[in-house]
Amino acid sequence: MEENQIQSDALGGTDQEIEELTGMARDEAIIAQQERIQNEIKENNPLVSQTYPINVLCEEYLDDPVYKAKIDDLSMQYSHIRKTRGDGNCFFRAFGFAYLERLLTDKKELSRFKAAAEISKDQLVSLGFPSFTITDFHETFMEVIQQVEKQPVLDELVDTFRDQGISDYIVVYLRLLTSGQLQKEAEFYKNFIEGERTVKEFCRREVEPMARESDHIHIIALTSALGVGVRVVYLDRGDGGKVIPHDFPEGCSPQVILLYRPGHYDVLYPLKGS
Amino acid sequence: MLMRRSGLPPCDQCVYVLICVICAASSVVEEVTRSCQISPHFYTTITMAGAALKRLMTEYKQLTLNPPEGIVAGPLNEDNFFEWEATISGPEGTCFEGGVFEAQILFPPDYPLNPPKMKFKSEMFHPNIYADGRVCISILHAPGDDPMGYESSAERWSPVQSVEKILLSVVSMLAEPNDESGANVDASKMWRDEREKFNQIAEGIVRKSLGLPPAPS
Repeated sequence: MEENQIQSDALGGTDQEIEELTGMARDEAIIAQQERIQNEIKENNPLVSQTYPINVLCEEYLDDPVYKAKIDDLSMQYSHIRKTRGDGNCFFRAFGFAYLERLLTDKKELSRFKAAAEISKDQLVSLGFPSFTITDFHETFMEVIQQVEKQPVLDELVDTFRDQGISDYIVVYLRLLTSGQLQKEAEFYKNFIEGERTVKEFCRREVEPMARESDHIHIIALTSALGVGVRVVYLDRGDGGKVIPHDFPEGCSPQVILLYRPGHYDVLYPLKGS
Repeated sequence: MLMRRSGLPPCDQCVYVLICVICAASSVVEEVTRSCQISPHFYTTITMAGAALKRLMTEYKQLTLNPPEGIVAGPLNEDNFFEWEATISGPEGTCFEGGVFEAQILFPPDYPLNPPKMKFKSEMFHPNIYADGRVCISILHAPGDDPMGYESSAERWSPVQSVEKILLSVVSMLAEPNDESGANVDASKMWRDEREKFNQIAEGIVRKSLGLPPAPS
Protein backbone atom coordinates (compact mmCIF):
# COMPACT_ATOMS: atom_id res chain seq x y z
CA MET A 1 0.00 0.00 0.00
CA GLU A 2 2.70 2.43 1.03
CA GLU A 3 4.61 1.78 -2.12
CA ASN A 4 1.46 2.45 -4.14
CA GLN A 5 1.05 5.73 -2.33
CA ILE A 6 4.58 6.81 -3.12
CA GLN A 7 4.10 5.86 -6.73
CA SER A 8 0.75 7.65 -7.02
CA ASP A 9 2.18 10.78 -5.47
CA ALA A 10 5.16 10.59 -7.73
CA LEU A 11 2.96 10.71 -10.84
CA GLY A 12 2.24 14.35 -10.14
CA GLY A 13 5.95 15.21 -10.27
CA THR A 14 8.33 15.98 -13.07
CA ASP A 15 9.63 13.20 -15.32
CA GLN A 16 12.87 13.21 -13.36
CA GLU A 17 11.14 12.97 -9.97
CA ILE A 18 9.02 10.10 -11.25
CA GLU A 19 12.05 8.23 -12.46
CA GLU A 20 13.87 8.76 -9.15
CA LEU A 21 10.94 7.57 -7.04
CA THR A 22 9.69 4.68 -9.14
CA GLY A 23 12.66 3.73 -11.28
CA MET A 24 10.33 3.98 -14.27
CA ALA A 25 9.68 6.52 -17.00
CA ARG A 26 6.44 8.51 -16.63
CA ASP A 27 4.49 6.50 -19.20
CA GLU A 28 5.56 3.22 -17.68
CA ALA A 29 4.74 4.44 -14.18
CA ILE A 30 1.24 5.49 -15.29
CA ILE A 31 0.62 2.12 -16.92
CA ALA A 32 1.88 0.34 -13.79
CA GLN A 33 -0.48 2.40 -11.65
CA GLN A 34 -3.44 1.60 -13.92
CA GLU A 35 -2.61 -2.08 -13.62
CA ARG A 36 -2.60 -1.85 -9.82
CA ILE A 37 -6.01 -0.15 -9.85
CA GLN A 38 -7.37 -2.81 -12.21
CA ASN A 39 -6.05 -5.58 -9.95
CA GLU A 40 -7.70 -4.00 -6.96
CA ILE A 41 -11.04 -3.86 -8.79
CA LYS A 42 -10.54 -7.49 -9.82
CA GLU A 43 -9.96 -8.70 -6.27
CA ASN A 44 -12.99 -6.93 -4.85
CA ASN A 45 -15.66 -7.53 -7.51
CA PRO A 46 -16.76 -10.69 -9.34
CA LEU A 47 -17.39 -10.27 -13.08
CA VAL A 48 -21.10 -10.59 -12.31
CA SER A 49 -22.42 -10.56 -8.75
CA GLN A 50 -25.37 -12.24 -7.08
CA THR A 51 -28.56 -10.17 -6.99
CA TYR A 52 -29.00 -7.55 -4.28
CA PRO A 53 -32.09 -5.60 -3.22
CA ILE A 54 -32.12 -2.14 -4.79
CA ASN A 55 -31.52 -0.34 -1.50
CA VAL A 56 -28.00 -1.83 -1.35
CA LEU A 57 -27.19 1.15 -3.59
CA CYS A 58 -27.86 3.51 -0.66
CA GLU A 59 -24.66 2.27 0.99
CA GLU A 60 -22.67 3.82 -1.83
CA TYR A 61 -24.30 7.23 -1.47
CA LEU A 62 -24.66 7.69 2.28
CA ASP A 63 -24.67 11.48 2.47
CA ASP A 64 -26.04 12.18 -0.93
CA PRO A 65 -29.68 13.38 -0.99
CA VAL A 66 -29.83 13.59 -4.81
CA TYR A 67 -28.90 9.93 -5.25
CA LYS A 68 -30.96 8.84 -2.25
CA ALA A 69 -34.13 10.33 -3.67
CA LYS A 70 -33.47 8.73 -7.02
CA ILE A 71 -32.74 5.32 -5.47
CA ASP A 72 -36.13 5.58 -3.71
CA ASP A 73 -37.71 6.30 -7.07
CA LEU A 74 -35.83 3.38 -8.63
CA SER A 75 -37.13 1.02 -5.95
CA MET A 76 -40.74 1.87 -6.92
CA GLN A 77 -40.25 -0.11 -10.13
CA TYR A 78 -37.25 -2.36 -9.60
CA SER A 79 -36.59 -4.90 -6.90
CA HIS A 80 -33.05 -6.10 -7.50
CA ILE A 81 -29.72 -5.26 -9.03
CA ARG A 82 -26.94 -7.54 -10.25
CA LYS A 83 -23.61 -5.76 -10.27
CA THR A 84 -20.89 -6.18 -12.86
CA ARG A 85 -17.19 -5.51 -12.53
CA GLY A 86 -16.12 -2.02 -13.55
CA ASP A 87 -13.52 -3.11 -16.05
CA GLY A 88 -14.61 -1.15 -19.10
CA ASN A 89 -16.55 -4.16 -20.43
CA CYS A 90 -19.51 -3.76 -18.09
CA PHE A 91 -22.09 -2.81 -20.73
CA PHE A 92 -21.35 -5.86 -22.85
CA ARG A 93 -21.11 -8.18 -19.87
CA ALA A 94 -24.29 -6.86 -18.23
CA PHE A 95 -26.18 -6.98 -21.52
CA GLY A 96 -24.91 -10.47 -22.38
CA PHE A 97 -25.81 -11.88 -19.01
CA ALA A 98 -29.23 -10.24 -18.73
CA TYR A 99 -30.24 -11.30 -22.23
CA LEU A 100 -29.11 -14.91 -21.85
CA GLU A 101 -30.84 -15.05 -18.46
CA ARG A 102 -34.01 -14.02 -20.21
CA LEU A 103 -33.49 -16.65 -22.89
CA LEU A 104 -33.52 -19.32 -20.18
CA THR A 105 -37.29 -18.84 -20.05
CA ASP A 106 -38.07 -17.75 -23.62
CA LYS A 107 -37.63 -20.67 -26.01
CA LYS A 108 -39.04 -18.89 -29.03
CA GLU A 109 -36.68 -15.96 -28.70
CA LEU A 110 -33.82 -18.37 -28.00
CA SER A 111 -34.29 -20.22 -31.28
CA ARG A 112 -34.56 -16.95 -33.21
CA PHE A 113 -31.39 -15.71 -31.56
CA LYS A 114 -29.49 -18.95 -32.05
CA ALA A 115 -30.19 -18.92 -35.79
CA ALA A 116 -29.08 -15.28 -36.06
CA ALA A 117 -25.93 -15.94 -34.01
CA GLU A 118 -25.08 -18.97 -36.13
CA ILE A 119 -24.84 -16.96 -39.36
CA SER A 120 -23.32 -13.88 -37.74
CA LYS A 121 -19.77 -15.12 -38.18
CA ASP A 122 -20.09 -15.33 -41.95
CA GLN A 123 -21.53 -11.84 -41.96
CA LEU A 124 -18.50 -10.57 -40.04
CA VAL A 125 -16.16 -12.35 -42.45
CA SER A 126 -17.93 -10.71 -45.38
CA LEU A 127 -17.32 -7.35 -43.71
CA GLY A 128 -13.60 -8.08 -43.80
CA PHE A 129 -12.83 -9.65 -40.41
CA PRO A 130 -10.21 -12.38 -40.91
CA SER A 131 -11.95 -15.66 -40.20
CA PHE A 132 -9.09 -17.11 -38.16
CA THR A 133 -9.19 -14.23 -35.69
CA ILE A 134 -12.93 -14.47 -34.97
CA THR A 135 -13.60 -18.23 -35.06
CA ASP A 136 -12.68 -18.95 -31.45
CA PHE A 137 -14.91 -16.17 -30.14
CA HIS A 138 -17.84 -17.28 -32.26
CA GLU A 139 -17.39 -20.89 -31.12
CA THR A 140 -17.42 -19.92 -27.45
CA PHE A 141 -20.45 -17.71 -28.04
CA MET A 142 -22.35 -20.59 -29.67
CA GLU A 143 -21.30 -22.97 -26.88
CA VAL A 144 -22.81 -20.64 -24.31
CA ILE A 145 -26.04 -20.42 -26.31
CA GLN A 146 -26.09 -24.24 -26.39
CA GLN A 147 -25.61 -24.21 -22.64
CA VAL A 148 -28.68 -21.94 -22.32
CA GLU A 149 -30.66 -24.33 -24.56
CA LYS A 150 -30.16 -27.04 -21.96
CA GLN A 151 -31.99 -24.79 -19.50
CA PRO A 152 -29.45 -24.94 -16.70
CA VAL A 153 -30.16 -23.45 -13.29
CA LEU A 154 -29.37 -19.76 -13.11
CA ASP A 155 -26.26 -20.35 -11.00
CA GLU A 156 -24.65 -22.24 -13.88
CA LEU A 157 -25.04 -19.21 -16.12
CA VAL A 158 -23.58 -17.07 -13.34
CA ASP A 159 -20.59 -19.45 -13.15
CA THR A 160 -20.12 -19.23 -16.91
CA PHE A 161 -20.04 -15.45 -16.72
CA ARG A 162 -17.61 -15.56 -13.80
CA ASP A 163 -15.16 -17.72 -15.73
CA GLN A 164 -12.85 -15.01 -17.01
CA GLY A 165 -11.90 -16.93 -20.14
CA ILE A 166 -15.44 -17.69 -21.33
CA SER A 167 -16.88 -14.40 -20.07
CA ASP A 168 -14.28 -12.32 -21.89
CA TYR A 169 -14.74 -14.32 -25.10
CA ILE A 170 -18.47 -13.50 -24.96
CA VAL A 171 -17.61 -9.83 -24.48
CA VAL A 172 -15.21 -9.96 -27.43
CA TYR A 173 -17.87 -11.45 -29.67
CA LEU A 174 -20.47 -8.87 -28.64
CA ARG A 175 -17.89 -6.18 -29.40
CA LEU A 176 -17.31 -7.71 -32.83
CA LEU A 177 -21.04 -7.79 -33.56
CA THR A 178 -21.23 -4.14 -32.53
CA SER A 179 -18.30 -3.24 -34.75
CA GLY A 180 -19.79 -5.21 -37.64
CA GLN A 181 -23.09 -3.35 -37.36
CA LEU A 182 -21.35 0.04 -37.22
CA GLN A 183 -19.35 -0.79 -40.33
CA LYS A 184 -22.32 -2.25 -42.18
CA GLU A 185 -24.31 0.93 -41.58
CA ALA A 186 -21.29 3.23 -41.72
CA GLU A 187 -23.16 5.85 -43.77
CA PHE A 188 -25.59 6.31 -40.91
CA TYR A 189 -23.24 5.99 -37.96
CA LYS A 190 -20.50 8.26 -39.31
CA ASN A 191 -22.67 11.24 -38.34
CA PHE A 192 -22.37 10.31 -34.67
CA ILE A 193 -18.61 9.93 -34.50
CA GLU A 194 -16.70 12.82 -33.04
CA GLY A 195 -13.49 14.09 -34.52
CA GLU A 196 -11.90 13.24 -37.82
CA ARG A 197 -12.25 9.51 -37.50
CA THR A 198 -13.78 7.10 -39.96
CA VAL A 199 -16.24 4.50 -38.68
CA LYS A 200 -13.59 1.85 -39.20
CA GLU A 201 -11.00 3.78 -37.18
CA PHE A 202 -13.58 4.32 -34.45
CA CYS A 203 -14.32 0.57 -34.34
CA ARG A 204 -10.65 -0.41 -34.22
CA ARG A 205 -10.01 2.05 -31.43
CA GLU A 206 -13.19 2.25 -29.33
CA VAL A 207 -15.21 -0.90 -30.01
CA GLU A 208 -13.01 -3.91 -30.76
CA PRO A 209 -10.38 -3.48 -28.00
CA MET A 210 -11.35 -4.85 -24.61
CA ALA A 211 -11.92 -2.43 -21.73
CA ARG A 212 -12.97 0.49 -23.93
CA GLU A 213 -16.14 1.87 -22.40
CA SER A 214 -19.45 1.91 -24.23
CA ASP A 215 -21.38 4.94 -25.31
CA HIS A 216 -24.84 5.38 -26.86
CA ILE A 217 -23.46 4.50 -30.27
CA HIS A 218 -22.29 1.09 -29.05
CA ILE A 219 -25.68 0.37 -27.49
CA ILE A 220 -27.63 1.43 -30.55
CA ALA A 221 -25.43 -0.66 -32.85
CA LEU A 222 -25.53 -3.80 -30.69
CA THR A 223 -29.28 -3.67 -30.11
CA SER A 224 -29.95 -3.27 -33.82
CA ALA A 225 -27.42 -5.97 -34.74
CA LEU A 226 -29.19 -8.47 -32.48
CA GLY A 227 -32.74 -7.16 -32.72
CA VAL A 228 -32.93 -6.97 -28.94
CA GLY A 229 -34.52 -4.02 -27.15
CA VAL A 230 -32.74 -2.59 -24.12
CA ARG A 231 -33.93 -0.16 -21.45
CA VAL A 232 -31.21 1.86 -19.77
CA VAL A 233 -32.29 3.55 -16.54
CA TYR A 234 -30.16 6.60 -15.74
CA LEU A 235 -29.18 7.23 -12.15
CA ASP A 236 -27.09 10.38 -12.09
CA ARG A 237 -26.87 13.85 -10.61
CA GLY A 238 -29.40 15.38 -13.01
CA ASP A 239 -32.37 17.43 -11.71
CA GLY A 240 -35.87 16.11 -11.11
CA GLY A 241 -35.42 13.56 -8.34
CA LYS A 242 -36.41 10.68 -10.60
CA VAL A 243 -34.47 8.08 -12.55
CA ILE A 244 -34.92 8.40 -16.30
CA PRO A 245 -35.38 5.41 -18.61
CA HIS A 246 -34.21 5.40 -22.23
CA ASP A 247 -35.17 2.61 -24.58
CA PHE A 248 -32.92 1.43 -27.39
CA PRO A 249 -34.32 1.40 -30.02
CA GLU A 250 -36.92 4.00 -29.07
CA GLY A 251 -40.40 2.58 -28.65
CA CYS A 252 -39.24 -1.06 -28.28
CA SER A 253 -40.50 -3.40 -25.61
CA PRO A 254 -37.23 -3.96 -23.77
CA GLN A 255 -35.95 -7.47 -23.14
CA VAL A 256 -33.00 -6.31 -21.06
CA ILE A 257 -32.98 -3.63 -18.38
CA LEU A 258 -29.73 -2.01 -17.28
CA LEU A 259 -28.94 0.58 -14.67
CA TYR A 260 -26.55 3.30 -15.79
CA ARG A 261 -24.52 5.33 -13.37
CA PRO A 262 -21.90 7.61 -14.92
CA GLY A 263 -19.28 5.27 -16.34
CA HIS A 264 -20.94 2.01 -15.32
CA TYR A 265 -23.73 -0.46 -16.19
CA ASP A 266 -25.39 -3.06 -13.95
CA VAL A 267 -28.39 -5.36 -14.49
CA LEU A 268 -31.81 -4.36 -13.10
CA TYR A 269 -34.74 -6.62 -12.23
CA PRO A 270 -38.29 -5.19 -12.22
CA LEU A 271 -40.65 -5.61 -9.27
CA LYS A 272 -42.79 -8.70 -9.75
CA GLY A 273 -46.05 -7.76 -11.38
CA SER A 274 -44.82 -4.44 -12.75
CA MET B 1 6.66 -32.47 -31.28
CA LEU B 2 4.53 -33.18 -34.31
CA MET B 3 5.68 -30.33 -36.47
CA ARG B 4 9.04 -29.97 -38.02
CA ARG B 5 11.25 -26.96 -37.47
CA SER B 6 12.51 -24.81 -40.32
CA GLY B 7 10.42 -23.18 -42.97
CA LEU B 8 8.21 -26.16 -43.73
CA PRO B 9 4.56 -25.27 -43.11
CA PRO B 10 2.69 -27.54 -40.74
CA CYS B 11 0.09 -29.47 -42.71
CA ASP B 12 -3.59 -29.39 -41.86
CA GLN B 13 -3.49 -32.83 -40.44
CA CYS B 14 -0.60 -32.09 -38.06
CA VAL B 15 -2.37 -29.06 -36.70
CA TYR B 16 -5.58 -31.03 -36.35
CA VAL B 17 -3.84 -33.85 -34.49
CA LEU B 18 -2.08 -31.37 -32.27
CA ILE B 19 -5.34 -29.60 -31.47
CA CYS B 20 -6.90 -32.96 -30.57
CA VAL B 21 -3.98 -33.71 -28.31
CA ILE B 22 -4.43 -30.39 -26.59
CA CYS B 23 -8.19 -30.79 -26.27
CA ALA B 24 -7.66 -34.20 -24.73
CA ALA B 25 -5.03 -32.72 -22.47
CA SER B 26 -7.39 -30.01 -21.31
CA SER B 27 -10.00 -32.56 -20.26
CA VAL B 28 -7.29 -34.36 -18.33
CA VAL B 29 -6.35 -31.05 -16.75
CA GLU B 30 -9.98 -30.52 -15.83
CA GLU B 31 -10.05 -33.89 -14.09
CA VAL B 32 -6.78 -33.29 -12.27
CA THR B 33 -7.87 -29.82 -11.26
CA ARG B 34 -11.12 -31.10 -9.80
CA SER B 35 -9.63 -34.00 -7.95
CA CYS B 36 -6.71 -32.01 -6.55
CA GLN B 37 -8.87 -28.97 -5.80
CA ILE B 38 -6.54 -26.56 -7.50
CA SER B 39 -7.91 -23.03 -7.26
CA PRO B 40 -10.45 -22.08 -9.94
CA HIS B 41 -8.23 -19.15 -10.89
CA PHE B 42 -5.43 -21.53 -11.79
CA TYR B 43 -7.89 -23.64 -13.73
CA THR B 44 -9.09 -20.59 -15.66
CA THR B 45 -5.49 -19.73 -16.47
CA ILE B 46 -4.95 -23.21 -17.87
CA THR B 47 -8.08 -23.17 -20.02
CA MET B 48 -7.26 -19.68 -21.26
CA ALA B 49 -3.77 -20.83 -22.14
CA GLY B 50 -5.41 -23.68 -24.10
CA ALA B 51 -7.43 -21.12 -26.08
CA ALA B 52 -4.28 -19.04 -26.61
CA LEU B 53 -2.36 -22.06 -27.85
CA LYS B 54 -5.06 -22.96 -30.36
CA ARG B 55 -5.04 -19.42 -31.70
CA LEU B 56 -1.24 -19.22 -31.84
CA MET B 57 -1.05 -22.44 -33.83
CA THR B 58 -3.61 -21.08 -36.30
CA GLU B 59 -1.63 -17.88 -36.66
CA TYR B 60 1.61 -19.77 -37.16
CA LYS B 61 -0.01 -21.81 -39.90
CA GLN B 62 -1.33 -18.63 -41.56
CA LEU B 63 2.08 -17.00 -41.41
CA THR B 64 3.90 -19.98 -42.89
CA LEU B 65 1.37 -20.47 -45.67
CA ASN B 66 1.12 -16.77 -46.55
CA PRO B 67 4.25 -15.09 -45.28
CA PRO B 68 4.20 -11.30 -45.61
CA GLU B 69 7.13 -9.91 -47.58
CA GLY B 70 10.29 -9.50 -45.56
CA ILE B 71 8.95 -11.24 -42.47
CA VAL B 72 9.60 -14.69 -41.03
CA ALA B 73 8.12 -15.59 -37.67
CA GLY B 74 7.35 -18.65 -35.62
CA PRO B 75 7.84 -20.34 -32.29
CA LEU B 76 11.45 -20.59 -31.21
CA ASN B 77 10.83 -24.12 -30.06
CA GLU B 78 7.65 -25.98 -30.83
CA ASP B 79 7.34 -27.19 -27.26
CA ASN B 80 6.59 -23.61 -26.33
CA PHE B 81 4.23 -21.70 -28.59
CA PHE B 82 4.31 -18.69 -26.26
CA GLU B 83 7.77 -17.56 -27.32
CA TRP B 84 8.37 -16.70 -30.95
CA GLU B 85 11.26 -15.32 -32.88
CA ALA B 86 10.80 -13.01 -35.83
CA THR B 87 13.17 -11.92 -38.53
CA ILE B 88 12.34 -8.61 -40.15
CA SER B 89 14.04 -7.19 -43.23
CA GLY B 90 14.66 -3.45 -43.15
CA PRO B 91 12.10 -1.88 -45.50
CA GLU B 92 13.34 -0.86 -48.95
CA GLY B 93 14.00 2.78 -49.59
CA THR B 94 14.59 3.54 -45.89
CA CYS B 95 17.76 3.93 -43.86
CA PHE B 96 17.22 0.40 -42.53
CA GLU B 97 17.16 -1.16 -46.02
CA GLY B 98 19.27 -4.30 -46.29
CA GLY B 99 19.28 -5.02 -42.56
CA VAL B 100 18.00 -8.29 -41.17
CA PHE B 101 16.76 -7.78 -37.63
CA GLU B 102 15.88 -10.41 -35.09
CA ALA B 103 13.21 -9.97 -32.46
CA GLN B 104 11.57 -11.98 -29.72
CA ILE B 105 7.80 -12.04 -29.23
CA LEU B 106 6.41 -13.21 -25.87
CA PHE B 107 2.71 -14.06 -25.60
CA PRO B 108 0.67 -13.83 -22.38
CA PRO B 109 -1.40 -16.88 -21.32
CA ASP B 110 -4.59 -14.95 -22.13
CA TYR B 111 -3.53 -14.06 -25.69
CA PRO B 112 -5.31 -12.71 -27.79
CA LEU B 113 -7.25 -10.85 -25.08
CA ASN B 114 -3.96 -9.16 -24.25
CA PRO B 115 -1.16 -8.34 -26.68
CA PRO B 116 2.26 -9.95 -26.79
CA LYS B 117 5.45 -8.10 -25.92
CA MET B 118 8.06 -7.61 -28.57
CA LYS B 119 11.75 -6.96 -28.16
CA PHE B 120 14.51 -6.63 -30.74
CA LYS B 121 17.53 -8.80 -30.11
CA SER B 122 19.53 -7.11 -32.83
CA GLU B 123 20.97 -3.77 -31.82
CA MET B 124 18.57 -1.00 -32.87
CA PHE B 125 18.54 2.78 -32.84
CA HIS B 126 15.04 4.06 -33.46
CA PRO B 127 12.65 6.60 -31.88
CA ASN B 128 10.08 3.92 -31.02
CA ILE B 129 12.41 1.24 -29.71
CA TYR B 130 13.73 1.41 -26.14
CA ALA B 131 17.48 1.09 -25.61
CA ASP B 132 16.92 -2.51 -24.41
CA GLY B 133 15.11 -3.43 -27.64
CA ARG B 134 11.48 -3.25 -26.46
CA VAL B 135 9.14 -2.05 -29.19
CA CYS B 136 6.78 0.79 -28.31
CA ILE B 137 3.94 1.10 -30.79
CA SER B 138 0.24 1.59 -30.18
CA ILE B 139 -0.88 -1.82 -31.47
CA LEU B 140 1.20 -3.52 -28.75
CA HIS B 141 -0.50 -1.65 -25.94
CA ALA B 142 -2.94 -3.42 -23.69
CA PRO B 143 -6.49 -2.10 -23.65
CA GLY B 144 -7.34 0.77 -21.38
CA ASP B 145 -6.22 4.33 -21.58
CA ASP B 146 -2.78 4.84 -22.93
CA PRO B 147 -0.71 7.71 -21.71
CA MET B 148 1.65 7.52 -24.67
CA GLY B 149 -0.01 10.35 -26.55
CA TYR B 150 -0.79 8.36 -29.66
CA GLU B 151 -3.18 9.96 -32.11
CA SER B 152 -6.82 9.13 -31.48
CA SER B 153 -6.88 7.15 -34.71
CA ALA B 154 -3.80 5.04 -33.87
CA GLU B 155 -4.53 1.33 -33.86
CA ARG B 156 -4.47 -0.35 -30.50
CA TRP B 157 -4.48 -3.98 -29.56
CA SER B 158 -7.72 -5.89 -29.89
CA PRO B 159 -8.38 -9.64 -30.05
CA VAL B 160 -8.90 -9.44 -33.83
CA GLN B 161 -5.39 -8.13 -34.37
CA SER B 162 -2.72 -10.73 -35.01
CA VAL B 163 1.01 -11.39 -35.03
CA GLU B 164 1.00 -10.57 -38.73
CA LYS B 165 -0.63 -7.19 -38.11
CA ILE B 166 1.93 -6.42 -35.40
CA LEU B 167 4.86 -7.31 -37.63
CA LEU B 168 3.48 -5.23 -40.49
CA SER B 169 3.09 -2.31 -38.07
CA VAL B 170 6.68 -2.78 -36.97
CA VAL B 171 7.84 -2.68 -40.59
CA SER B 172 5.99 0.58 -41.14
CA MET B 173 7.36 1.89 -37.85
CA LEU B 174 10.89 1.20 -39.16
CA ALA B 175 10.02 3.08 -42.35
CA GLU B 176 8.24 5.95 -40.63
CA PRO B 177 9.27 6.58 -37.03
CA ASN B 178 6.78 8.41 -34.86
CA ASP B 179 8.83 11.02 -33.04
CA GLU B 180 5.80 12.15 -31.00
CA SER B 181 5.89 9.12 -28.73
CA GLY B 182 9.58 8.62 -28.23
CA ALA B 183 10.81 5.51 -26.46
CA ASN B 184 14.38 6.49 -27.29
CA VAL B 185 14.62 10.25 -26.76
CA ASP B 186 18.08 10.55 -28.30
CA ALA B 187 16.97 8.73 -31.42
CA SER B 188 13.83 10.90 -31.61
CA LYS B 189 15.83 14.12 -31.40
CA MET B 190 18.37 12.95 -33.93
CA TRP B 191 15.67 11.77 -36.32
CA ARG B 192 14.08 15.22 -36.13
CA ASP B 193 17.12 17.47 -36.12
CA GLU B 194 20.09 15.57 -37.52
CA ARG B 195 18.76 13.20 -40.13
CA GLU B 196 22.19 12.70 -41.74
CA LYS B 197 23.70 11.53 -38.50
CA PHE B 198 20.70 9.29 -37.81
CA ASN B 199 21.09 7.67 -41.24
CA GLN B 200 24.77 6.99 -40.53
CA ILE B 201 23.98 5.24 -37.27
CA ALA B 202 21.24 3.28 -39.03
CA GLU B 203 23.74 2.18 -41.66
CA GLY B 204 26.06 0.94 -38.92
CA ILE B 205 23.16 -1.01 -37.40
CA VAL B 206 22.27 -2.54 -40.75
CA ARG B 207 25.88 -3.69 -41.24
CA LYS B 208 25.98 -5.09 -37.72
CA SER B 209 22.76 -7.04 -38.30
CA LEU B 210 24.43 -8.70 -41.27
CA GLY B 211 27.59 -9.44 -39.31
CA LEU B 212 29.63 -6.97 -41.37
CA PRO B 213 32.33 -4.76 -39.92
CA PRO B 214 31.58 -1.02 -39.62
CA ALA B 215 31.83 0.88 -42.90
CA PRO B 216 35.27 2.41 -43.50
CA SER B 217 35.03 6.14 -42.83
